[in-house]
Amino acid sequence: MNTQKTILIVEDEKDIREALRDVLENNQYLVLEAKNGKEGVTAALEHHPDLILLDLLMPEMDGMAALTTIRSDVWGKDAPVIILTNLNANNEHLVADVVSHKPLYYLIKSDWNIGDVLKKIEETLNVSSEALTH
Amino acid sequence: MKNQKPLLIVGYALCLFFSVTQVHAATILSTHTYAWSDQVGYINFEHVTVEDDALAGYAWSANKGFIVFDPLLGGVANDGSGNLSGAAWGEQLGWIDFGNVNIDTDGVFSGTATGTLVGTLTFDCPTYCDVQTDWRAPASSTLSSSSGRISGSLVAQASSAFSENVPNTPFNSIPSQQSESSEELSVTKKSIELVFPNEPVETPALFDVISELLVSKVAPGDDLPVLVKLSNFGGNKRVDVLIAYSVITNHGVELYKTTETVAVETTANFVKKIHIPVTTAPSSYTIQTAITYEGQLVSATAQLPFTVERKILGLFQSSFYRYSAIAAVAAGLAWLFGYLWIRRRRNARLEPIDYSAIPRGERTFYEIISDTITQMRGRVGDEALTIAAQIPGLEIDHDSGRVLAITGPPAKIVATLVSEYETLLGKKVSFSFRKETAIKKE
Repeated sequence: MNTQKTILIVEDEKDIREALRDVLENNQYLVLEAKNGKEGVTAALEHHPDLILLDLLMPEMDGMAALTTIRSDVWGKDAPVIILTNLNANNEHLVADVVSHKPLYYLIKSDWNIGDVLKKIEETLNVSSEALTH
Repeated sequence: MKNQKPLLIVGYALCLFFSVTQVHAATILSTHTYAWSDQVGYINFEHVTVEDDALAGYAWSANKGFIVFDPLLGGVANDGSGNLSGAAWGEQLGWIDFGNVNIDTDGVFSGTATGTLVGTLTFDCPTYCDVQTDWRAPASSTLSSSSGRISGSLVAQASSAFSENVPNTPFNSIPSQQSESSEELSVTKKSIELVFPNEPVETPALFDVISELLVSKVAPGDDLPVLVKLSNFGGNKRVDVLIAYSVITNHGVELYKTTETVAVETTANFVKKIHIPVTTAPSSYTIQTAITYEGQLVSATAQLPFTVERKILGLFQSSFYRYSAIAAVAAGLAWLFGYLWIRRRRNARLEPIDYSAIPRGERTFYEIISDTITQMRGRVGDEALTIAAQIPGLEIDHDSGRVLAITGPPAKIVATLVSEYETLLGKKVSFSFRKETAIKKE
Protein backbone atom coordinates (compact mmCIF):
# COMPACT_ATOMS: atom_id res chain seq x y z
CA MET A 1 0.00 0.00 0.00
CA ASN A 2 1.36 3.36 -1.03
CA THR A 3 1.37 5.64 2.03
CA GLN A 4 3.31 8.45 0.39
CA LYS A 5 1.65 11.79 1.09
CA THR A 6 1.03 14.32 -1.68
CA ILE A 7 1.60 18.02 -1.11
CA LEU A 8 0.59 20.76 -3.50
CA ILE A 9 2.75 23.90 -3.46
CA VAL A 10 0.97 26.98 -4.84
CA GLU A 11 3.67 29.61 -5.00
CA ASP A 12 4.56 32.15 -7.67
CA GLU A 13 8.14 32.74 -6.47
CA LYS A 14 10.23 30.11 -8.16
CA ASP A 15 13.04 30.07 -5.59
CA ILE A 16 10.71 29.50 -2.70
CA ARG A 17 8.68 26.92 -4.59
CA GLU A 18 11.76 24.89 -5.57
CA ALA A 19 13.26 25.12 -2.11
CA LEU A 20 10.06 23.77 -0.59
CA ARG A 21 9.87 21.07 -3.21
CA ASP A 22 13.43 19.88 -2.56
CA VAL A 23 12.92 19.68 1.18
CA LEU A 24 9.62 17.86 0.88
CA GLU A 25 10.91 15.41 -1.71
CA ASN A 26 13.93 14.72 0.47
CA ASN A 27 11.43 13.81 3.14
CA GLN A 28 9.67 11.32 0.91
CA TYR A 29 6.68 13.48 0.03
CA LEU A 30 5.16 13.50 -3.44
CA VAL A 31 5.17 17.14 -4.54
CA LEU A 32 2.86 18.93 -6.96
CA GLU A 33 3.65 22.47 -8.04
CA ALA A 34 1.51 25.41 -9.19
CA LYS A 35 2.83 28.91 -9.89
CA ASN A 36 -0.46 30.80 -9.43
CA GLY A 37 -3.91 30.43 -7.92
CA LYS A 38 -5.53 29.20 -11.08
CA GLU A 39 -3.05 26.36 -11.56
CA GLY A 40 -3.38 25.62 -7.92
CA VAL A 41 -7.14 25.20 -8.04
CA THR A 42 -6.84 22.93 -11.07
CA ALA A 43 -4.16 20.75 -9.49
CA ALA A 44 -5.97 20.55 -6.19
CA LEU A 45 -9.30 19.51 -7.58
CA GLU A 46 -7.66 17.03 -9.94
CA HIS A 47 -5.18 15.32 -7.59
CA HIS A 48 -6.80 15.86 -4.17
CA PRO A 49 -3.48 16.34 -2.40
CA ASP A 50 -3.14 15.59 1.33
CA LEU A 51 -2.05 19.17 2.01
CA ILE A 52 -1.92 22.49 0.19
CA LEU A 53 0.75 25.12 0.80
CA LEU A 54 -0.85 28.32 -0.42
CA ASP A 55 0.65 31.73 -1.08
CA LEU A 56 -1.75 34.69 -1.06
CA LEU A 57 -0.18 37.27 -3.37
CA MET A 58 0.04 35.68 -6.81
CA PRO A 59 -0.72 36.65 -10.44
CA GLU A 60 -3.85 35.62 -12.37
CA MET A 61 -5.67 34.37 -9.24
CA ASP A 62 -4.57 35.27 -5.71
CA GLY A 63 -4.46 32.74 -2.97
CA MET A 64 -7.59 33.83 -1.16
CA ALA A 65 -9.64 33.53 -4.37
CA ALA A 66 -8.14 30.14 -5.03
CA LEU A 67 -8.98 29.05 -1.48
CA THR A 68 -12.54 30.28 -1.88
CA THR A 69 -12.88 28.15 -5.04
CA ILE A 70 -11.36 25.08 -3.42
CA ARG A 71 -13.62 25.40 -0.37
CA SER A 72 -16.63 25.45 -2.64
CA ASP A 73 -15.78 21.95 -3.83
CA VAL A 74 -17.08 18.91 -1.99
CA TRP A 75 -13.60 17.52 -1.51
CA GLY A 76 -12.03 20.91 -0.95
CA LYS A 77 -14.24 22.17 1.85
CA ASP A 78 -12.22 20.18 4.40
CA ALA A 79 -8.89 20.03 2.58
CA PRO A 80 -5.95 20.91 4.85
CA VAL A 81 -4.44 24.26 3.83
CA ILE A 82 -1.48 26.14 5.23
CA ILE A 83 -1.25 29.75 4.13
CA LEU A 84 2.36 30.72 3.60
CA THR A 85 2.63 34.40 2.75
CA ASN A 86 4.37 37.67 3.35
CA LEU A 87 1.09 39.51 3.66
CA ASN A 88 0.66 40.54 7.26
CA ALA A 89 -2.69 39.88 8.87
CA ASN A 90 -3.35 43.38 10.15
CA ASN A 91 -6.18 43.96 7.77
CA GLU A 92 -9.64 43.40 9.11
CA HIS A 93 -11.10 42.09 5.85
CA LEU A 94 -8.17 39.76 5.23
CA VAL A 95 -8.58 38.35 8.70
CA ALA A 96 -12.29 37.88 8.16
CA ASP A 97 -11.65 36.03 4.87
CA VAL A 98 -8.95 33.86 6.39
CA VAL A 99 -11.12 32.93 9.33
CA SER A 100 -14.07 32.14 7.13
CA HIS A 101 -12.01 29.72 5.01
CA LYS A 102 -10.32 28.04 7.99
CA PRO A 103 -6.77 27.27 6.98
CA LEU A 104 -4.69 25.41 9.54
CA TYR A 105 -2.03 28.05 9.81
CA TYR A 106 -1.39 31.57 8.69
CA LEU A 107 2.39 31.60 8.45
CA ILE A 108 4.51 34.61 7.60
CA LYS A 109 7.31 33.52 5.28
CA SER A 110 9.87 35.84 6.78
CA ASP A 111 9.08 34.52 10.26
CA TRP A 112 9.47 30.86 9.35
CA ASN A 113 12.33 28.89 7.91
CA ILE A 114 11.75 25.83 5.75
CA GLY A 115 12.59 23.45 8.57
CA ASP A 116 9.89 24.91 10.78
CA VAL A 117 7.42 24.79 7.93
CA LEU A 118 8.28 21.11 7.44
CA LYS A 119 7.52 20.48 11.13
CA LYS A 120 4.14 22.15 10.76
CA ILE A 121 3.44 19.99 7.72
CA GLU A 122 4.38 16.85 9.61
CA GLU A 123 2.24 17.86 12.57
CA THR A 124 -0.61 18.38 10.19
CA LEU A 125 -0.22 15.10 8.43
CA ASN A 126 0.63 13.35 11.69
CA VAL A 127 3.57 11.73 10.04
CA SER A 128 7.17 12.13 11.08
CA SER A 129 9.82 12.53 8.43
CA GLU A 130 11.89 9.84 10.19
CA ALA A 131 9.15 7.29 9.79
CA LEU A 132 9.05 8.04 6.13
CA THR A 133 12.79 7.74 5.81
CA HIS A 134 12.93 4.35 7.47
CA MET B 1 45.68 -23.70 142.34
CA LYS B 2 44.93 -20.06 142.62
CA ASN B 3 48.59 -19.15 142.38
CA GLN B 4 49.01 -21.15 139.18
CA LYS B 5 46.59 -19.04 137.07
CA PRO B 6 49.00 -16.36 135.87
CA LEU B 7 51.51 -18.96 134.84
CA LEU B 8 48.96 -20.89 132.88
CA ILE B 9 47.91 -17.78 131.02
CA VAL B 10 51.47 -16.84 130.08
CA GLY B 11 52.17 -20.35 128.98
CA TYR B 12 49.09 -20.45 126.90
CA ALA B 13 50.02 -17.16 125.25
CA LEU B 14 53.39 -18.59 124.31
CA CYS B 15 51.71 -21.61 122.75
CA LEU B 16 49.58 -19.32 120.72
CA PHE B 17 52.62 -17.39 119.57
CA PHE B 18 54.34 -20.46 118.18
CA SER B 19 51.24 -21.88 116.63
CA VAL B 20 50.38 -18.81 114.62
CA THR B 21 53.84 -18.11 113.24
CA GLN B 22 53.23 -20.87 110.72
CA VAL B 23 52.53 -19.42 107.24
CA HIS B 24 49.35 -20.59 105.51
CA ALA B 25 49.89 -20.52 101.70
CA ALA B 26 46.90 -21.67 99.70
CA THR B 27 45.78 -21.82 96.12
CA ILE B 28 42.62 -20.93 94.24
CA LEU B 29 40.23 -23.82 93.75
CA SER B 30 40.45 -24.92 90.14
CA THR B 31 36.68 -24.83 89.65
CA HIS B 32 36.32 -21.36 91.12
CA THR B 33 38.90 -19.17 89.44
CA TYR B 34 37.06 -16.41 87.59
CA ALA B 35 36.15 -12.90 88.69
CA TRP B 36 34.23 -10.50 86.46
CA SER B 37 35.20 -6.98 85.49
CA ASP B 38 32.51 -4.73 84.08
CA GLN B 39 35.18 -3.15 81.87
CA VAL B 40 37.43 -5.97 80.68
CA GLY B 41 35.42 -9.13 81.32
CA TYR B 42 36.60 -12.32 83.02
CA ILE B 43 39.83 -12.41 84.98
CA ASN B 44 41.37 -15.74 85.93
CA PHE B 45 42.75 -16.00 89.47
CA GLU B 46 44.04 -19.52 88.97
CA HIS B 47 47.64 -18.57 89.64
CA VAL B 48 47.00 -16.41 92.66
CA THR B 49 48.10 -17.76 96.02
CA VAL B 50 46.68 -16.73 99.34
CA GLU B 51 48.87 -16.45 102.36
CA ASP B 52 48.05 -15.41 105.85
CA ASP B 53 49.41 -11.95 105.35
CA ALA B 54 49.20 -11.29 101.62
CA LEU B 55 48.17 -12.46 98.19
CA ALA B 56 50.84 -13.43 95.69
CA GLY B 57 51.16 -14.68 92.14
CA TYR B 58 49.23 -13.27 89.27
CA ALA B 59 45.81 -13.16 87.70
CA TRP B 60 45.22 -13.16 83.95
CA SER B 61 42.90 -11.17 81.76
CA ALA B 62 42.55 -12.39 78.19
CA ASN B 63 41.99 -8.78 77.16
CA LYS B 64 44.42 -6.95 79.40
CA GLY B 65 47.17 -9.37 80.36
CA PHE B 66 48.75 -10.01 83.75
CA ILE B 67 47.72 -8.60 87.08
CA VAL B 68 50.49 -8.96 89.64
CA PHE B 69 49.57 -9.24 93.31
CA ASP B 70 53.00 -8.65 94.76
CA PRO B 71 54.54 -5.90 92.62
CA LEU B 72 57.57 -3.96 93.67
CA LEU B 73 55.34 -1.31 95.17
CA GLY B 74 51.98 -1.91 96.69
CA GLY B 75 50.54 -5.39 96.73
CA VAL B 76 47.48 -6.93 98.28
CA ALA B 77 47.66 -7.66 102.01
CA ASN B 78 45.66 -10.16 104.03
CA ASP B 79 45.06 -9.26 107.65
CA GLY B 80 44.95 -12.92 108.49
CA SER B 81 41.22 -12.88 108.80
CA GLY B 82 40.57 -12.70 105.10
CA ASN B 83 40.16 -8.92 104.99
CA LEU B 84 42.20 -7.75 102.02
CA SER B 85 43.72 -4.32 101.48
CA GLY B 86 46.14 -2.61 99.12
CA ALA B 87 46.34 -2.80 95.37
CA ALA B 88 47.43 -5.18 92.64
CA TRP B 89 49.09 -3.96 89.47
CA GLY B 90 47.79 -4.76 86.03
CA GLU B 91 50.23 -4.26 83.22
CA GLN B 92 47.46 -2.72 81.14
CA LEU B 93 45.03 -1.94 83.90
CA GLY B 94 47.10 0.09 86.36
CA TRP B 95 46.33 -0.19 90.03
CA ILE B 96 43.39 -2.25 91.28
CA ASP B 97 42.25 -1.57 94.81
CA PHE B 98 41.37 -4.68 96.85
CA GLY B 99 40.37 -2.78 99.97
CA ASN B 100 36.78 -3.95 99.73
CA VAL B 101 37.49 -7.63 99.14
CA ASN B 102 37.16 -10.32 101.80
CA ILE B 103 37.76 -14.04 102.02
CA ASP B 104 35.24 -15.66 104.31
CA THR B 105 35.71 -18.66 106.54
CA ASP B 106 34.87 -20.97 103.63
CA GLY B 107 37.53 -19.42 101.43
CA VAL B 108 35.04 -17.59 99.27
CA PHE B 109 36.06 -14.21 97.91
CA SER B 110 33.43 -11.49 98.22
CA GLY B 111 33.12 -7.76 97.74
CA THR B 112 34.52 -5.77 94.86
CA ALA B 113 37.91 -4.56 93.74
CA THR B 114 38.02 -1.34 91.79
CA GLY B 115 40.32 0.47 89.45
CA THR B 116 40.15 3.29 86.93
CA LEU B 117 40.54 0.92 84.02
CA VAL B 118 39.32 -2.36 85.42
CA GLY B 119 36.13 -0.74 86.66
CA THR B 120 34.43 -2.96 89.23
CA LEU B 121 35.80 -6.44 89.72
CA THR B 122 33.20 -8.76 91.21
CA PHE B 123 33.99 -12.11 92.85
CA ASP B 124 30.59 -13.51 93.55
CA CYS B 125 28.31 -12.80 90.67
CA PRO B 126 25.58 -15.35 89.86
CA THR B 127 26.97 -16.90 86.67
CA TYR B 128 30.44 -18.37 86.24
CA CYS B 129 32.00 -15.83 88.43
CA ASP B 130 33.25 -16.91 91.82
CA VAL B 131 36.67 -17.15 93.31
CA GLN B 132 37.38 -19.56 96.10
CA THR B 133 40.54 -20.63 97.85
CA ASP B 134 41.47 -23.47 100.10
CA TRP B 135 43.00 -20.93 102.39
CA ARG B 136 41.22 -20.64 105.72
CA ALA B 137 41.59 -17.91 108.20
CA PRO B 138 43.24 -19.14 111.35
CA ALA B 139 40.84 -19.47 114.24
CA SER B 140 42.26 -16.27 115.71
CA SER B 141 40.36 -14.36 113.10
CA THR B 142 37.39 -14.54 115.37
CA LEU B 143 39.10 -12.00 117.53
CA SER B 144 38.34 -8.41 116.94
CA SER B 145 41.05 -6.53 115.15
CA SER B 146 41.12 -2.82 114.62
CA SER B 147 43.72 -2.47 111.95
CA GLY B 148 45.41 -3.97 108.98
CA ARG B 149 48.03 -6.58 108.71
CA ILE B 150 50.88 -5.11 110.69
CA SER B 151 49.36 -2.93 113.33
CA GLY B 152 46.52 -3.06 115.76
CA SER B 153 45.67 -4.00 119.32
CA LEU B 154 44.02 -6.79 121.05
CA VAL B 155 42.30 -6.38 124.33
CA ALA B 156 40.92 -9.36 126.04
CA GLN B 157 39.20 -9.73 129.30
CA ALA B 158 39.57 -12.76 131.43
CA SER B 159 37.30 -13.57 134.21
CA SER B 160 38.22 -14.77 137.58
CA ALA B 161 37.11 -18.20 136.50
CA PHE B 162 39.52 -18.06 133.60
CA SER B 163 42.26 -20.41 134.70
CA GLU B 164 40.77 -23.79 133.96
CA ASN B 165 38.82 -22.67 131.00
CA VAL B 166 41.61 -20.93 129.14
CA PRO B 167 41.76 -23.45 126.27
CA ASN B 168 38.15 -22.70 125.47
CA THR B 169 38.46 -18.94 125.36
CA PRO B 170 38.99 -16.96 122.23
CA PHE B 171 42.51 -16.24 123.26
CA ASN B 172 43.60 -19.61 122.04
CA SER B 173 43.49 -18.25 118.53
CA ILE B 174 45.51 -15.12 118.99
CA PRO B 175 48.04 -15.08 116.15
CA SER B 176 51.49 -15.57 117.45
CA GLN B 177 52.68 -13.05 114.91
CA GLN B 178 50.82 -10.38 116.76
CA SER B 179 52.01 -11.64 120.07
CA GLU B 180 55.51 -11.39 118.76
CA SER B 181 55.21 -7.67 118.38
CA SER B 182 56.41 -5.32 121.03
CA GLU B 183 53.33 -5.86 122.99
CA GLU B 184 52.87 -4.88 126.54
CA LEU B 185 51.61 -7.63 128.72
CA SER B 186 50.11 -6.54 131.95
CA VAL B 187 48.72 -9.16 134.15
CA THR B 188 46.46 -8.28 136.97
CA LYS B 189 44.57 -10.42 139.21
CA LYS B 190 41.63 -10.86 136.91
CA SER B 191 42.55 -9.54 133.49
CA ILE B 192 45.11 -9.65 130.74
CA GLU B 193 45.63 -6.79 128.29
CA LEU B 194 47.65 -7.29 125.16
CA VAL B 195 48.65 -4.02 123.56
CA PHE B 196 50.08 -3.85 120.03
CA PRO B 197 51.73 -0.74 118.66
CA ASN B 198 49.04 1.18 116.80
CA GLU B 199 51.21 3.54 114.82
CA PRO B 200 49.91 4.05 111.30
CA VAL B 201 52.30 2.85 108.67
CA GLU B 202 52.48 5.20 105.72
CA THR B 203 52.36 3.61 102.33
CA PRO B 204 53.95 5.58 99.51
CA ALA B 205 51.75 7.49 97.09
CA LEU B 206 51.08 5.65 93.84
CA PHE B 207 49.54 7.89 91.25
CA ASP B 208 47.99 6.87 87.99
CA VAL B 209 47.03 9.47 85.40
CA ILE B 210 44.42 9.19 82.69
CA SER B 211 43.64 11.96 80.24
CA GLU B 212 40.88 12.39 77.71
CA LEU B 213 40.64 14.96 74.95
CA LEU B 214 37.34 16.77 74.92
CA VAL B 215 37.95 17.68 71.28
CA SER B 216 40.10 15.87 68.74
CA LYS B 217 40.78 18.84 66.52
CA VAL B 218 41.85 22.36 67.33
CA ALA B 219 42.91 25.44 65.38
CA PRO B 220 46.19 27.29 65.90
CA GLY B 221 45.65 29.86 68.64
CA ASP B 222 42.77 27.93 70.24
CA ASP B 223 42.73 26.04 73.53
CA LEU B 224 42.83 22.26 73.64
CA PRO B 225 40.70 21.05 76.58
CA VAL B 226 42.10 17.94 78.28
CA LEU B 227 40.22 16.07 80.99
CA VAL B 228 42.79 14.87 83.53
CA LYS B 229 42.04 12.12 86.07
CA LEU B 230 44.53 11.49 88.86
CA SER B 231 44.14 8.48 91.14
CA ASN B 232 46.26 7.70 94.16
CA PHE B 233 46.40 3.98 94.90
CA GLY B 234 48.91 4.37 97.66
CA GLY B 235 48.62 6.23 100.95
CA ASN B 236 45.89 8.70 101.60
CA LYS B 237 48.24 11.53 102.41
CA ARG B 238 47.82 14.74 100.45
CA VAL B 239 50.55 14.98 97.87
CA ASP B 240 51.60 17.81 95.58
CA VAL B 241 51.69 16.42 92.08
CA LEU B 242 53.49 18.27 89.33
CA ILE B 243 51.73 17.75 86.03
CA ALA B 244 53.56 18.45 82.80
CA TYR B 245 51.63 18.85 79.56
CA SER B 246 53.64 18.55 76.36
CA VAL B 247 52.60 18.94 72.75
CA ILE B 248 54.74 16.62 70.67
CA THR B 249 55.05 16.46 66.90
CA ASN B 250 54.89 13.29 64.83
CA HIS B 251 58.68 13.32 64.81
CA GLY B 252 58.89 13.34 68.58
CA VAL B 253 59.84 16.99 68.88
CA GLU B 254 58.39 18.74 71.89
CA LEU B 255 56.65 21.76 70.49
CA TYR B 256 55.21 23.24 73.63
CA LYS B 257 55.24 22.48 77.34
CA THR B 258 53.47 23.80 80.40
CA THR B 259 53.32 22.59 83.98
CA GLU B 260 51.13 23.01 87.01
CA THR B 261 51.03 21.63 90.54
CA VAL B 262 47.92 20.01 91.95
CA ALA B 263 47.45 18.84 95.54
CA VAL B 264 45.76 15.42 95.50
CA GLU B 265 44.77 13.07 98.27
CA THR B 266 42.95 10.25 96.53
CA THR B 267 41.55 11.37 93.19
CA ALA B 268 41.32 14.56 91.22
CA ASN B 269 39.46 15.24 87.99
CA PHE B 270 39.74 18.54 86.19
CA VAL B 271 39.87 20.07 82.72
CA LYS B 272 43.13 21.65 81.64
CA LYS B 273 43.12 23.96 78.65
CA ILE B 274 46.33 23.77 76.67
CA HIS B 275 46.87 26.83 74.51
CA ILE B 276 48.01 25.84 71.04
CA PRO B 277 50.32 28.57 69.70
CA VAL B 278 49.00 30.44 66.72
CA THR B 279 52.17 29.59 64.84
CA THR B 280 51.54 25.84 65.12
CA ALA B 281 51.58 24.23 61.69
CA PRO B 282 48.51 22.17 60.74
CA SER B 283 49.35 18.52 61.35
CA SER B 284 48.83 15.61 63.73
CA TYR B 285 50.26 15.94 67.24
CA THR B 286 50.28 14.16 70.56
CA ILE B 287 49.43 15.68 73.92
CA GLN B 288 51.40 14.01 76.70
CA THR B 289 50.43 14.30 80.34
CA ALA B 290 53.13 13.27 82.80
CA ILE B 291 53.06 13.48 86.59
CA THR B 292 55.84 13.87 89.12
CA TYR B 293 55.57 13.79 92.89
CA GLU B 294 57.72 13.29 95.91
CA GLY B 295 58.89 9.76 96.38
CA GLN B 296 57.77 8.70 92.96
CA LEU B 297 59.28 5.45 91.77
CA VAL B 298 57.07 4.62 88.81
CA SER B 299 56.49 7.05 86.00
CA ALA B 300 52.93 7.78 84.96
CA THR B 301 52.13 9.35 81.64
CA ALA B 302 49.22 9.49 79.24
CA GLN B 303 49.39 10.31 75.56
CA LEU B 304 46.60 11.22 73.19
CA PRO B 305 46.67 12.18 69.51
CA PHE B 306 44.99 15.30 68.22
CA THR B 307 44.98 17.36 65.04
CA VAL B 308 45.73 21.00 64.44
CA GLU B 309 43.82 22.43 61.49
CA ARG B 310 43.24 26.00 60.37
CA LYS B 311 39.80 27.55 60.38
CA ILE B 312 38.02 29.43 57.62
CA LEU B 313 35.08 31.62 58.66
CA GLY B 314 34.93 29.84 62.00
CA LEU B 315 34.92 26.36 60.48
CA PHE B 316 37.76 23.91 60.30
CA GLN B 317 39.29 23.89 56.84
CA SER B 318 38.11 20.37 56.00
CA SER B 319 34.62 21.12 57.34
CA PHE B 320 34.56 24.39 55.41
CA TYR B 321 35.37 22.62 52.15
CA ARG B 322 32.87 19.88 52.92
CA TYR B 323 30.10 22.33 53.76
CA SER B 324 31.00 24.46 50.75
CA ALA B 325 30.65 21.44 48.49
CA ILE B 326 27.31 20.58 50.09
CA ALA B 327 26.16 24.20 49.75
CA ALA B 328 27.24 24.25 46.08
CA VAL B 329 25.33 21.06 45.37
CA ALA B 330 22.31 22.41 47.25
CA ALA B 331 22.50 25.68 45.31
CA GLY B 332 22.80 23.77 42.05
CA LEU B 333 19.78 21.64 42.90
CA ALA B 334 17.84 24.73 43.98
CA TRP B 335 18.69 26.42 40.68
CA LEU B 336 17.73 23.30 38.72
CA PHE B 337 14.44 22.89 40.54
CA GLY B 338 13.75 26.60 40.21
CA TYR B 339 14.48 26.48 36.51
CA LEU B 340 12.27 23.44 36.01
CA TRP B 341 9.49 25.05 38.03
CA ILE B 342 9.65 28.28 36.02
CA ARG B 343 9.79 26.33 32.78
CA ARG B 344 6.84 24.22 33.78
CA ARG B 345 4.93 27.32 34.79
CA ARG B 346 5.80 29.01 31.49
CA ASN B 347 4.77 25.93 29.55
CA ALA B 348 1.54 25.85 31.50
CA ARG B 349 0.93 29.45 30.53
CA LEU B 350 1.57 28.59 26.89
CA GLU B 351 -0.93 25.77 26.75
CA PRO B 352 -4.03 26.50 24.68
CA ILE B 353 -7.06 27.59 26.65
CA ASP B 354 -10.28 25.72 26.16
CA TYR B 355 -13.16 27.69 24.61
CA SER B 356 -15.51 24.81 23.94
CA ALA B 357 -18.20 26.63 25.92
CA ILE B 358 -18.20 29.43 23.34
CA PRO B 359 -20.71 28.99 20.46
CA ARG B 360 -19.06 27.52 17.39
CA GLY B 361 -19.57 30.63 15.24
CA GLU B 362 -17.58 32.84 17.65
CA ARG B 363 -15.20 30.20 18.99
CA THR B 364 -12.67 30.48 16.14
CA PHE B 365 -11.99 34.16 16.89
CA TYR B 366 -11.69 33.43 20.62
CA GLU B 367 -9.16 30.73 19.81
CA ILE B 368 -7.19 32.83 17.30
CA ILE B 369 -7.00 35.80 19.68
CA SER B 370 -6.19 33.62 22.69
CA ASP B 371 -3.50 31.62 20.89
CA THR B 372 -1.98 34.77 19.45
CA ILE B 373 -1.80 36.29 22.95
CA THR B 374 -0.32 33.06 24.33
CA GLN B 375 2.23 32.91 21.52
CA MET B 376 3.25 36.52 22.10
CA ARG B 377 3.38 35.97 25.86
CA GLY B 378 5.98 33.29 25.26
CA ARG B 379 8.01 35.75 23.18
CA VAL B 380 7.69 39.04 25.03
CA GLY B 381 6.26 38.05 28.41
CA ASP B 382 3.33 39.63 30.20
CA GLU B 383 3.56 42.75 28.05
CA ALA B 384 1.55 40.72 25.55
CA LEU B 385 -1.32 40.76 28.08
CA THR B 386 -1.01 44.50 28.60
CA ILE B 387 -1.24 45.14 24.87
CA ALA B 388 -4.18 42.80 24.44
CA ALA B 389 -6.01 44.36 27.38
CA GLN B 390 -5.85 47.75 25.63
CA ILE B 391 -7.48 46.52 22.41
CA PRO B 392 -11.00 48.05 22.17
CA GLY B 393 -13.74 45.42 22.21
CA LEU B 394 -11.53 42.75 23.82
CA GLU B 395 -11.75 41.65 27.46
CA ILE B 396 -9.12 39.30 28.81
CA ASP B 397 -8.09 37.88 32.17
CA HIS B 398 -4.97 39.79 33.21
CA ASP B 399 -3.42 36.74 34.83
CA SER B 400 -4.12 33.87 32.47
CA GLY B 401 -4.69 35.79 29.24
CA ARG B 402 -7.98 34.05 28.75
CA VAL B 403 -10.34 35.86 26.42
CA LEU B 404 -13.38 36.73 28.51
CA ALA B 405 -15.43 38.50 25.90
CA ILE B 406 -15.26 39.90 22.38
CA THR B 407 -17.55 42.91 22.19
CA GLY B 408 -16.18 44.50 19.02
CA PRO B 409 -15.75 43.26 15.42
CA PRO B 410 -13.66 40.08 15.90
CA ALA B 411 -11.71 40.30 12.60
CA LYS B 412 -10.80 43.88 13.42
CA ILE B 413 -9.67 42.88 16.91
CA VAL B 414 -7.45 40.15 15.44
CA ALA B 415 -6.01 42.57 12.89
CA THR B 416 -5.38 45.23 15.56
CA LEU B 417 -3.79 42.70 17.90
CA VAL B 418 -1.50 41.39 15.17
CA SER B 419 -0.62 44.93 14.17
CA GLU B 420 0.27 45.87 17.76
CA TYR B 421 2.42 42.81 18.17
CA GLU B 422 4.16 43.41 14.86
CA THR B 423 4.96 46.92 16.06
CA LEU B 424 6.32 45.54 19.32
CA LEU B 425 8.41 42.83 17.67
CA GLY B 426 9.39 44.78 14.60
CA LYS B 427 8.31 41.93 12.33
CA LYS B 428 5.23 40.22 11.00
CA VAL B 429 3.27 37.83 13.15
CA SER B 430 1.83 34.46 12.18
CA PHE B 431 -1.10 32.75 13.80
CA SER B 432 -2.72 29.39 13.72
CA PHE B 433 -6.09 27.78 13.70
CA ARG B 434 -6.79 25.09 16.19
CA LYS B 435 -7.30 21.43 15.54
CA GLU B 436 -9.84 20.04 17.93
CA THR B 437 -7.41 17.47 19.34
CA ALA B 438 -4.85 20.08 20.27
CA ILE B 439 -7.05 21.70 22.90
CA LYS B 440 -6.48 21.05 26.59
CA LYS B 441 -8.92 22.04 29.25
CA GLU B 442 -7.74 24.53 31.90
